[in-house]
Amino acid sequence: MPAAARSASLDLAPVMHRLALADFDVFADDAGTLIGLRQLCAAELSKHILLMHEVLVNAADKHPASYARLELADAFQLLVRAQERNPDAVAQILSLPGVGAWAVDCLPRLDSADTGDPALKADLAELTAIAAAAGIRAGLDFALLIPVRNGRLILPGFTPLDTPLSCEYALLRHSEAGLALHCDGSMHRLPAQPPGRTRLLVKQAGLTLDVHFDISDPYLTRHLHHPMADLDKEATAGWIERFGGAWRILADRHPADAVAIAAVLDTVVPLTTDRATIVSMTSTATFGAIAASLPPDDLTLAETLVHECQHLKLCALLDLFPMVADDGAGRYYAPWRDDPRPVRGLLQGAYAFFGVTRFWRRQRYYGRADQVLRGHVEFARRRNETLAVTSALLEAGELTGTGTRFVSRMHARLRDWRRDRVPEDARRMAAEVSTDHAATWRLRHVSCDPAASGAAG
Amino acid sequence: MADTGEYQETSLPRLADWPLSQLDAIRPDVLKEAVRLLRERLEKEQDPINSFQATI
Repeated sequence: MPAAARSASLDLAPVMHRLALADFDVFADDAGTLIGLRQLCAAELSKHILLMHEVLVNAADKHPASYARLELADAFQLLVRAQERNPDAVAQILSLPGVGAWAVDCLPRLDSADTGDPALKADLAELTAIAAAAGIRAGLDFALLIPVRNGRLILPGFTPLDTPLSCEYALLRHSEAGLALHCDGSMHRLPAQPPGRTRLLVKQAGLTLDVHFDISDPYLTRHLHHPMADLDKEATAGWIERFGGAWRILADRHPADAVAIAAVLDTVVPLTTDRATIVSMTSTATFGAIAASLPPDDLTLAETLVHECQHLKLCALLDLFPMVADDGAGRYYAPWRDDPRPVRGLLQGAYAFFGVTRFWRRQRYYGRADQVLRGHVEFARRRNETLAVTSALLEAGELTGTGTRFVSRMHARLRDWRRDRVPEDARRMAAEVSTDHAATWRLRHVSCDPAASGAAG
Repeated sequence: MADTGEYQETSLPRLADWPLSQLDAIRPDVLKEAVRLLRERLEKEQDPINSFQATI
């Protein structure tokens, strides 16, 4: 906000986020407590609000002409009104993963871009789309200038609406009478209550998973690559069926992980991939979202959800508590990747596969004989690999005190699991797969010392 | 699980419960420090995407 328009600081100091040590420790020992999970979600909402406020302050100070032309002060006032009318609706919109991604993209551009930069203008204008989405959810009457992207009205939390309009910006009017876009003297009516994103609601064993599919949010999809161009009815049905099966597995047999997934997962970005490859990912900038290709079976989706939600939890924890001191030049072997990893990447992988190990430790007793064997192999393999990686992390000397506490607890749990019995054939198969990956990695990344090899020869 | 009463403290203000209309009333140094820490974290992240790929 321009300095003159800002209310004078009253020097108020809000309470800071904090996490009971007991709750912090359960994230390292297990899937997390419900209180701890709610704290992480609240902290991510605070982060989005903080970064949005920083965007506004920087836009007003560094790019006042754009700030005025895009009517960002009006957009913020709409958010204020919407919060006064319906605080939960505004919290839902501001918590969206795409809002976090937008703020993370926009802030550095405000520092580096010229005022006329169209990318900066588009980024700043997104705030008006966020405010409009909140205004509609809160049921307010308003008129706001908002961006139209190639004829599409894309509001966070809603399904995009196609229009015949060719203008870049249009005046969006919302009232009891309905929703309409005005530009260049023409008006286009839209549904009074625009449809929300495609929602998936599954219940099992008293646990509910409530997530949304999103392939349209421009900021979300910029961070999570290759979304499907179109999520048609057939593709949606495939995902819904797979989620139903995966949720039955998780809610029935892995309730602690199911509770964690239900708490942190809001959005799924379906990815395109060839049939022979499965891909899944998360981003530091998009808390609450995972991107994934459709896994071949329910069990694999259940494992993927545990894996990716471990990343989401760790990303949120790292926003609160630095666990890695300044990265050194060290690069380390990660048994789940073909490339050498810095400590931050190694920590992310270790935490994800700590969750995967926990999943297979229970799951290996259920299903057909081939599924039981798969479970034993996966458990033995990931337990041994993650134990080795947590050792490497502790020895690397690049963790903070908090990071050391976190990794030490994971390490202790994995060491306890070494006592769990694994059938001999599964143990042998797990060892073969691990050895094969490690040997291939060494051939690729470890070079011989010519002097030493000459001496040996 | 025993609650020891100990907490991990942070520098992130609890804005989730704070009225948006009162954001400018907060001590600027509190907001600046929280933003600095978050941006520092984002800048240090060499690989912000956690991706996993497997062949089936």
